[in-house]
Amino acid sequence: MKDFMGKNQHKNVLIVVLDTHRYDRMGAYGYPRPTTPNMDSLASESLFFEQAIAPGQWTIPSHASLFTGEGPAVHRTLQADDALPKEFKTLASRLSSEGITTTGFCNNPLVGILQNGFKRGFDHFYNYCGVVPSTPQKSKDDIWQPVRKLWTKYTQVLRKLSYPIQNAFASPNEFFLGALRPLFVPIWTRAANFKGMTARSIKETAAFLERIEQDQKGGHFIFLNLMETHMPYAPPDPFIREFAPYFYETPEAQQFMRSFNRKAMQWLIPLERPFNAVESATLSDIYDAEVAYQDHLLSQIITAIDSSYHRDHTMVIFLADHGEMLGEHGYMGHGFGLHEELIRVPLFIRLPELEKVRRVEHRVSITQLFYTVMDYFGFDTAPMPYAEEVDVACQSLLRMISQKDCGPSHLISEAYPPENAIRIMNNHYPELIKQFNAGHTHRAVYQRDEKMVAIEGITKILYNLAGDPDEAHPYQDETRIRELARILDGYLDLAASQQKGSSHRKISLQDDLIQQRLRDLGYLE
Amino acid sequence: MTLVIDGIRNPDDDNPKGYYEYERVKKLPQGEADWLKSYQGKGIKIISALLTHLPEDYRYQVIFMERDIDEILASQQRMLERSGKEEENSVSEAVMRQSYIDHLDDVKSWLSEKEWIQTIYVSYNKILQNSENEMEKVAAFLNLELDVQRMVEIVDPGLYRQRK
Repeated sequence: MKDFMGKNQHKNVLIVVLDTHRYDRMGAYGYPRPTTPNMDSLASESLFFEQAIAPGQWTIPSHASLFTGEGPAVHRTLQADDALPKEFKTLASRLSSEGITTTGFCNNPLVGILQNGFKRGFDHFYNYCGVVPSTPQKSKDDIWQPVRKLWTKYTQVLRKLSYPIQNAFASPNEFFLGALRPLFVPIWTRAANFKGMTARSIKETAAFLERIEQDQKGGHFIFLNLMETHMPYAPPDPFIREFAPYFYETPEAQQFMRSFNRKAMQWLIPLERPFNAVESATLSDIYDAEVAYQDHLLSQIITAIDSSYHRDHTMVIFLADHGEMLGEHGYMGHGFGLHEELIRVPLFIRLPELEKVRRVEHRVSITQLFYTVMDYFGFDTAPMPYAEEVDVACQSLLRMISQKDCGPSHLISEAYPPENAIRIMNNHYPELIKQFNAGHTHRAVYQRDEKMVAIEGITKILYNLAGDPDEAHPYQDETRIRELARILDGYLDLAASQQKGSSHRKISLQDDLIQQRLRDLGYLE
Repeated sequence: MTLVIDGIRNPDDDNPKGYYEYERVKKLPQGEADWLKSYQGKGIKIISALLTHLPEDYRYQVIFMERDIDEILASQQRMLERSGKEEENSVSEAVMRQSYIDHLDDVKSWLSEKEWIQTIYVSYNKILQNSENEMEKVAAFLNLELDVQRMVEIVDPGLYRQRK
């Protein structure tokens, strides 16, 4: 361990997950609107991945892959009430056990509030979302210290009480369905900080980075999840005026956004009918305003890492865990399908010693970031729970650039139907299930320019993304479909063989239930 | 081996011969563990939910008593009924059962990772069936000159009431 920290005492990693951020709304990816000048600037001096894909279509499977280095079929953390099996040692656990200080700043309740194992291995984890956020302590020596202590105690008790309740919403139960009624949506989106506190979390992460610089003491892994571009959309006025200048003069646009922001059920399922022109433009422009607002706030982080200390010592990774459907192909949100708007994500890495942009054209997966971070910290191999040790360098995005032969020859992305959304459709829109094959798992295999989407038990569709980036014209090539299907079958067979002995299970409120029971029996206070 | 018992919890219908409790163990979650220093070399009853709060400053030998889950639940239910608290525990037996299975899995996993804790698992039901055999295992585990016959005499099958 001493040797490990000897090698790493000056190294840090900052990972910024832009939750629900489309790649095609960034200037760096060719978007003509000035939505992301700050991130574009950082991207212009980074290892820039033109075609990164997410392993899953939403937060839970995608983060589980990022934290374990495995695909969804292997980690089986697919639903809001799934917990990461215990045998997976998360990235934070691996780093923490070698002496790296691991700190999370999180705005997404699916990552920070649910007791699903995603926080495993973090030495410090701050939740900006939820009924009672937990944020970094202020200075310890001010005159308000006694008040702060009392407040801390009070919030700890509140948190203890509220977390089990918030976890109960993860299951596709009556709690969850009730909460989606338009009357209740403003309550949990605002009072329960559903999208966290973007501005505050960015400010406090920037301050944390500045403290690291002042201390000149490395060995930090910092994870920041931002939710500003997630529904509901309510960007500040100046950004609405810039990106949707017609909004305040168009009652139809305002009415549509008011309704959209309250009808949370419809964030999760395919569209009953396509958006009309005003709806489509409004949604797209308001989304852009959110992207621009978040980018504006991110200037604080980008300034903080612009110092010579961080340039020399800190690897900075920006990515999205998935994109977002804004009406394309009949879909809204990020519950179903594997279209490029949803699966292709922004990814760039600013590296010490990299002085100018280096563009990587071939396709990579954000799952590989697990190995990339380990590679940066000097791990050679990664023991995995089911497989033999993995050669970190071959999976790492830092070295596969120069060692193209040993990287993956294909990539796989998977969309398991979210049970919560299926329950909604069963209750309210059963016809949509059939129309969109929503009850079936979709899996995509990428190889070179080809993408085959297999809808389990239904069909297999082949696209050539080079000539058909919008996936509008599937083409027939039975030989290629068979070859890509064989790759997929191989992955699924391997995943199935690895399931034996897995401890996969649902999130449980067992601790609280048992503690209450033992308290009633007089065995606990 | 001396057992640390405070005698605060009196015998009742559930346990007519009394409880082997030491109330201060309940303070472990708050970090109050200084008292452990005074009881090195002695035996203390600690429920599974509190084991993970034991400080690393000492080495422990844990005799982990296992019992059929359904019998545990039946026994607890009876105790709750007697104390009038059964209304507060409105979850189904199936949910509670699974919770206990998961909880025990977690605690065992935790114990397995701690090199400063040695654990032996003994079966409550086997102790009733073949006390001598099980007590010999415990004595060997503790590596002490214990009076196995006296240990066997403590077992009272008359207290085995919640059977499957």
